[in-house]
Amino acid sequence: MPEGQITLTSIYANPAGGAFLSKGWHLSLNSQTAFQERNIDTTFPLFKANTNDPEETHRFEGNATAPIVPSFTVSFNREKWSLSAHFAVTGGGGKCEFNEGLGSFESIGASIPSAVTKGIVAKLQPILQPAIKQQLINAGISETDASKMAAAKALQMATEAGPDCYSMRSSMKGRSYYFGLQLGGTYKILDNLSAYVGVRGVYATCSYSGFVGDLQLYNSNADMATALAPEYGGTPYVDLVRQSYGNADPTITLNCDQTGFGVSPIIGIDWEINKHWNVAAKYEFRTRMNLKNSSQMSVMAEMLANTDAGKALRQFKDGERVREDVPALLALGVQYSPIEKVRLDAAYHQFFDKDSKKWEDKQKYVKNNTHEFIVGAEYDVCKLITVSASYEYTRYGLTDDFMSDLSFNLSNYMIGGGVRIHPSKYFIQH
Amino acid sequence: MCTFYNSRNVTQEQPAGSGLFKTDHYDRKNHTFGIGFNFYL
Repeated sequence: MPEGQITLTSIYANPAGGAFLSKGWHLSLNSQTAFQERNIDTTFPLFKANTNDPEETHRFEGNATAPIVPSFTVSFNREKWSLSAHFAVTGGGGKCEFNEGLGSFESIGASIPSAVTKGIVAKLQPILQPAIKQQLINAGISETDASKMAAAKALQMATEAGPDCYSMRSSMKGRSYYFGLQLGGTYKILDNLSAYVGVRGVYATCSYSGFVGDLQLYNSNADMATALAPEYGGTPYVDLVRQSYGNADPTITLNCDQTGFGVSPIIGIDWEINKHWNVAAKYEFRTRMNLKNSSQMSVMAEMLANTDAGKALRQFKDGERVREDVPALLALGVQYSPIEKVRLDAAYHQFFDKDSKKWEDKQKYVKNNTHEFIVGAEYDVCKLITVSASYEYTRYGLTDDFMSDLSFNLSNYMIGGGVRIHPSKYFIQH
Repeated sequence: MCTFYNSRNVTQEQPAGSGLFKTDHYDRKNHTFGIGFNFYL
């Protein structure tokens, strides 16, 4: 929303401009409905061993919906000063579901066949090698050559006895709401210059649930595996996974609720230069958010959370505090009204992401702060109707190391259009 | 409002030190509709 505007609905963007509203009470009720698709094509060489989708590239589709994202603003204005309150969902605002899970989850499952094979090789190779060597010596091959050949053959046979494909199911759901209540006062220092001081309290509530289960491991050369099964006890592959994790159920389940609260001061200034020009600036200080986890994880999930392979799970551990600051924001705006019916706006935002602390200091992977550039125009078609259009460009400065399929942002541009109807202005004056 | 996102490829070693590389191609689409009422009392 452009900062140069002076309207009730722009109080969030330009709180100092609220001083120039007419005396009395003003109330604004708003709601937004958002639909989002988050699609990720993940390419991982081991995905080819998935019997249900034997391709290296798998598509993970996420759908986010936020049917009602409410906000309200109230302002009480006197001659020189005004008090205002604004409530909104300032972050998150919906839930996202990945019904087939995420690539980072499946890559854990896809790595298990090779890990199991490694265990089988360690056990089988020493058993097979002497027997093969003796057979080769009996066939007239020298002992030196027989040793080399037997080692290679035993490795090959043991490797072929391990699982080389898998199937599994996974899913992921996430929900995130950051509720913000902003209270503040504006004072007219001069007839055309006002200043605002306020504070915003943010309450965050998020929840995540993930599932990776029904893991099955197969050997495409079943005859070889069956023939060698007695050598490693004939244990089903999945049970070998259980054994290597202390007989734990290999199903990964996760349910995590996160809550946190933070407060940040806000200052603003608005200068109505003349009837054509208005300029405004606002600075929101960083909101320190320390989210606390209340989680339930399966034994396997907890074990994996302590390994490199399962590091995506670590941030959901019970009792863990996850730092997730809301970055400071500098907003500048200007409005130019060449004629009474037309208003042109331009604004610039900078979010100070580099100084906004994240879990495990992830902010060090932010290369540049986020910059936003906005232009917009409003035209009063008649006393009843105003139409508007806007364009916004958002440029993130995130490195590859910052991105993950659990949380990612992409630079984007946005086109908006709107219609405002003024029934009271129209009917009262007619 | 309609939001048009850039897409992006990100390649990361997974798990670290394994020599296996995972490439994610990220894509997003967004549509937002809003309604509001202003009252002067």
